[in-house]
Amino acid sequence: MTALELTDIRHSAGGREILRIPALSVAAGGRLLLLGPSGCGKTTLLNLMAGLLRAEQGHVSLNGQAYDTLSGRALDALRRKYFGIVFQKLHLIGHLSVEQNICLAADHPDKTYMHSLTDRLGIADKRRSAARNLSHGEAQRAAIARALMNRPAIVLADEPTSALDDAQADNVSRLLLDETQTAGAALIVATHDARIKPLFDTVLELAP
Amino acid sequence: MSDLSLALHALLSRKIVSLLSVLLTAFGVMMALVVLQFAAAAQQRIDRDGKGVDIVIGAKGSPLQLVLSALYHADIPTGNIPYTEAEKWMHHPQVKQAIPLALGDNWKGFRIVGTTADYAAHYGAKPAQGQLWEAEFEAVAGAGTGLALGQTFSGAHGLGADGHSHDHQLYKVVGVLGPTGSVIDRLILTSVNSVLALHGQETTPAHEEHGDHDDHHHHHHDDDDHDHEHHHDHSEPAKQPAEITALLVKTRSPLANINLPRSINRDSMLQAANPALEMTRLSAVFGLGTRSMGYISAFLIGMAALSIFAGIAGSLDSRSGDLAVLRALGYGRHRLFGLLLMEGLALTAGGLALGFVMGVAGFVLLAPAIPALGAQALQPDIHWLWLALTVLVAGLAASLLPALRAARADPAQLLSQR
Ligand SMILES: Nc1ncnc2c1ncn2[C@@H]1O[C@H](COP(=O)(O)OP(=O)(O)OP(=O)(O)O)[C@@H](O)[C@H]1O
Ligand SMILES: [Mg+2]
Repeated sequence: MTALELTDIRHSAGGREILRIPALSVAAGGRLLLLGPSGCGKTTLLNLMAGLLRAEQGHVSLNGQAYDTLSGRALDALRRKYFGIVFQKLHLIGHLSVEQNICLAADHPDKTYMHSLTDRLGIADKRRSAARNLSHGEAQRAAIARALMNRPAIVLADEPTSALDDAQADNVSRLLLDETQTAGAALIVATHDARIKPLFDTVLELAP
Repeated sequence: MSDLSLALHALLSRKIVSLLSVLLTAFGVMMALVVLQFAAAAQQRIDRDGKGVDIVIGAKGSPLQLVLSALYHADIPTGNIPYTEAEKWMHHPQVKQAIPLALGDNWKGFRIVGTTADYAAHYGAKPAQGQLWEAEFEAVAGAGTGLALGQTFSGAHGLGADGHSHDHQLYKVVGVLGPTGSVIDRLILTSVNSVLALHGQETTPAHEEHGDHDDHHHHHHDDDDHDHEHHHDHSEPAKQPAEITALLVKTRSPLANINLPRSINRDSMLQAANPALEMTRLSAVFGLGTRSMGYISAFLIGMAALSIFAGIAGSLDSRSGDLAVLRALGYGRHRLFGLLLMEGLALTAGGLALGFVMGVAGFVLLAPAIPALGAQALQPDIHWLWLALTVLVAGLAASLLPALRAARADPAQLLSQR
């Protein structure tokens, strides 16, 4: 069953066409790796998928619902319900605690679920720490927990491993794969890091 | 996490700027409250002390000074007037009641007022202990003077607390009045003759004056009507004072309030002043004082609004990532807009609450230091509500522009920055 579908996408930025995608679909619970060098438009593509950007041409739809038929408000609601996003720069809110950051993703946060997430991700003892005091690894785990907190259908992760050594990169990738599998969510990772290519069954290589 | 606690956390993350906004708001509100409170208390006192007195008659000079000295006991008198002159007007057909006052001395700053029992009755003051004065140098103390029944004291010359004292002649407190909340609480009452005796004024036996037929007639008329306490049973014959300081007059018609002063000022060596008129003129001046304090509080509240604007607008750049991530987490534009308005409102509400506490405390502390106002109870009124609304609207207005800017920002662009 297809969850996310992109057709005839063309998008430009700064007066230059950076994305041209004739057709791309991700099934419910599927895994997709978007691989390409820096500046090829990976983040832009993730933004189109999450409805943070509207495609200049072509259509994005989720479960058959085309984004261009939705109002901005409806798109915000759709994102809140179906998507979890791990940003390239993580973007935790520094003055809030890890727990508060994670719970921001859900309207009625399920505290038990939050506890099990932080337990599994190994940051249980950091729940009450301010996000700004976390190490990079801890912040990354907190960001992954936040992306899963609303039990999304699709998790988008932008360069989750680029700043990490081999062991850490492998570890974070497995965390993402395991957690999305446990949650039954599709996982779409955008990276220029070819090390994690073997972990994905579908890989889309984007041209520079 | 509720939007309100999210807004409060954001404010706490920039404590100094937030505190500055709260304090500025609080000072503006406090200032406005004190202005409102003092204006209300002063007006109340002006109304209460001046109630029922239509005309004040005294020596020529400033009419405002005459009213302030004789009615509010807040200035020195314009001089003394011959009792015979005053008496002509006391028995004028348009005069319903005339209360003589003789001023000149004080005890520890409390004025000693030579008068008749009508004066106490006018303010509804009754002896809580003892009785009213009868013989000379018997005194009745107002509730706020601190004098006790049976205590003796000597009057000091003048109306301030530092005049030389008349040590050779002591007053004896024969009564203490119950509290009335009016100016009489801070006065010491005695007979007119007691005050004048200390100042070497001749007093003439009453019977000598009865040669004047006119006076005689009216005197009895007066007695029959309501001046029963004018004369008490003395073994010696009642004496009439040669001079008094002022007459407080109640007229029979509103028209007389205008006509009587006119003819007194024209036809006699006396001066008549209309207290309502003089106090209106005074509050036009006094109003300037409260108005400029009002401007200062408006200025402070304006500065507070500016600091709220600066605080929120200035934070937008450093937290654009935080706000963008909220958008990415599915917070709509309207929700972000509301979040920032909430920050402005929270700051003003905090400042408002603190300002009210400081204003109430400030009034409680300041009121005793300004004796003319006495200890007034706080009087919350509709102005407080308007003040609160004005301040909240100012806070809302101050956060409007930054909130709009945040709501319009493009999250995708902001998230790829930094
Ligand atoms: N708002 C924008 N205005 C102008 N140019 C933009 C804008 N957003 C993206 N671009 C450009 O579009 C191209 C793709 O950007 P994007 O961030 O999607 O690349 P990326 O593949 O994620 O790169 P990286 O691996 O460095 O994160 C880049 O050349 C970038 O400079
Ligand atoms: Mg990128």
